[in-house]
Amino acid sequence: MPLAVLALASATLWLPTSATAQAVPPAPALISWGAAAAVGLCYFISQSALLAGVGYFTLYRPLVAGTLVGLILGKPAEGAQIGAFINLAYLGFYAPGGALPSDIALAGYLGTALALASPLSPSAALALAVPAGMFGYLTYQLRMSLSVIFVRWAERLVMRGKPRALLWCNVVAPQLLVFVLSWLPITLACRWGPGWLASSLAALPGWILPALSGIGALMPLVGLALALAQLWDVHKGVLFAAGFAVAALLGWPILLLALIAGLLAWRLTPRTIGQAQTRADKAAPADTPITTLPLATRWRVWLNWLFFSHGSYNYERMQGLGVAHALSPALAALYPAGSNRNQAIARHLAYFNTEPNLGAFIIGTSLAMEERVQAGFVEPDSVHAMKTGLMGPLAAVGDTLIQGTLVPAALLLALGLTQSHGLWGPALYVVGISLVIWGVGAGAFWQGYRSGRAVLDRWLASGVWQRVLAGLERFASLMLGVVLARLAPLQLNPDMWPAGLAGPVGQALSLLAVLGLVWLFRRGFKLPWVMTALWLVGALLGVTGGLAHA
Amino acid sequence: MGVMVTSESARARVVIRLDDRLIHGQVVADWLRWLAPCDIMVVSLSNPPPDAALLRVVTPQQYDLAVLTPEAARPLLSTQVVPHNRLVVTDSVSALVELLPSGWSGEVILGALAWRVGREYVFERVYLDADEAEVLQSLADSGVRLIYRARYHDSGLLWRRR
Repeated sequence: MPLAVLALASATLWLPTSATAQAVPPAPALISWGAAAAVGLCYFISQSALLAGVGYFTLYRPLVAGTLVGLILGKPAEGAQIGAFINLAYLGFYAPGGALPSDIALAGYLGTALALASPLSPSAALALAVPAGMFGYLTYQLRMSLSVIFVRWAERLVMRGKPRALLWCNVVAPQLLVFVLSWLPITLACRWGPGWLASSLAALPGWILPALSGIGALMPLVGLALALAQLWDVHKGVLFAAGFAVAALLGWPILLLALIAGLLAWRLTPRTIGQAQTRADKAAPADTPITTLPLATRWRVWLNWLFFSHGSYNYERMQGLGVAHALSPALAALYPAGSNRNQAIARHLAYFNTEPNLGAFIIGTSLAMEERVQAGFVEPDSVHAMKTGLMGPLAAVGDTLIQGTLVPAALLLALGLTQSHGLWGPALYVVGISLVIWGVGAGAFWQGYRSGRAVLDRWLASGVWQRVLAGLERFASLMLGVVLARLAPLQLNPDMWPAGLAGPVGQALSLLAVLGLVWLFRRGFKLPWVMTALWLVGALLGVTGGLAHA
Repeated sequence: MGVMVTSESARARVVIRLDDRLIHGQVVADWLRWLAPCDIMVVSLSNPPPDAALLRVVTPQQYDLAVLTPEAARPLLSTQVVPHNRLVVTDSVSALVELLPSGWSGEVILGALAWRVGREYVFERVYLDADEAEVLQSLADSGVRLIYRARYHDSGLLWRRR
């Protein structure tokens, strides 16, 4: 359905509707080759394995993408604001288990470039960026499918005694593929897209631009509603409404509101959450690893995993090649060159998929167990059993806690900061989320190596993560209300309302719209249908002049 | 929308998902959130059985969780015993076949069956060997709707004769 909408929108833009269309001169290039290539490079890096595991949490987010595009085009503050606006539409975005709903990075980079270098308003650019994200999703599918080739190459080459091929198969070749699939299209789109849009819009009927603006103005409401619907219960609904009311009625700075939201979330989270859960069975015996590997080797394993866990992410083995590549320095140190080493590496090429940061615990534990396998104390099958037994549960905790809750909560804070403090918003977000991700990953890896399963059992049974999750959900609910009131209210056309009413009515309508969308989503209405309906409503609002944006 | 088991008194839903990862990111961060309030049943024939205590501590507390055999779980698919939405996750085709009551027709979500030697690509995350494909085909022939859906809001791909 989104593709149908995209096709319709694209067709509308392609078809000349007046005789003057034939006379339109070639589109001027509004972004230089150098700037376009730099935007393409940022987009590539957001998809690549070059950022120590934080690319997906930083450069991939439209807030950061918009800021970078703004920096490249010499308009950093505007870029950050546009990126924040686009990011509002994707607040409900997350991709558990690698199931990507849309490529929000493409929407962020291309949408900001179009808004800064073409006649499009930010909301009109967002209306085009959303379907562009769907094209990015197709690229992702292609990459996930093609990368199967690399893991099969790796398997053959490892068994032939060429373990160094792991670097080529997990890093070099897949990153070249990502480069070709990401850098080239967006560079060309940035170079020619704004100019092409400018000339196309000049040749199209005058209602197209207001319609696109109207559509884009509604998209942030969808993002907010999706994020709220995922958290929804009556308690969270009350918090959301409270956040909205305070932000709408009081002129307090957004930073103060965020601070109050944090304190309230902390106070309102019962300390008993998670405490009732204890492991009924005995804890696994504490593993005391036989330390045979040099510290430098263990660090290489950790860094390999940090950078390249998703180096050749693919549907067949998911992170399997990433695990084998990460552990390969250790296995090379434990086994002399030959069939034992080859088989040890090949064992780790099996299917594996988990949340990479908390899941680093599994890599650390695997490392410790491999030392024991080599010493003859542990069977190789035990390592495989540990990996397959823990990968799902740790993904459940990691995906829910990190990308399902922590990242949206941090982004809500950053979006607010961007509005009030400009570039400090994206800058603090990038630094803060990177430190958290690296801290979680490093802690999990080294704890897994030193203490094994016992410490994990104790930590999970303590319920700490459940209390953190509950607190973050409360904070996010409050901030969703704040952000709706301050950043995403419908801007009604003041000429159509008595003096002073357009603002409050717009805010009230935004609140009702978000609650209505939450109700639809919770009732099981599918996103593509809701989006299609919103496209029609938004276009109508834009064309009739109901919105100030248009 | 999964298996729509609708009683007169409540519009509770029982969604059956074939997924050998059992409790993992897509289930907890996505499906449970959208089905809430709900409980979750893990159904398996594996030996040793899934670590129920581990699965309990990685599932947010608000969702009741039970680990059952297909035989024990089968009566719990009935509308009479579903007070609210229920997500049933089973890890193998054989457990699924034992779980479903005879003559049952409804929807089964294909979530993931990992690649291993002998299995071939069917959907993005679903790999089947010839026997498993044949069993699923016979389920489809008997009226069961098999749909590949990773996330709750995905459109889904319908199982086709292969």
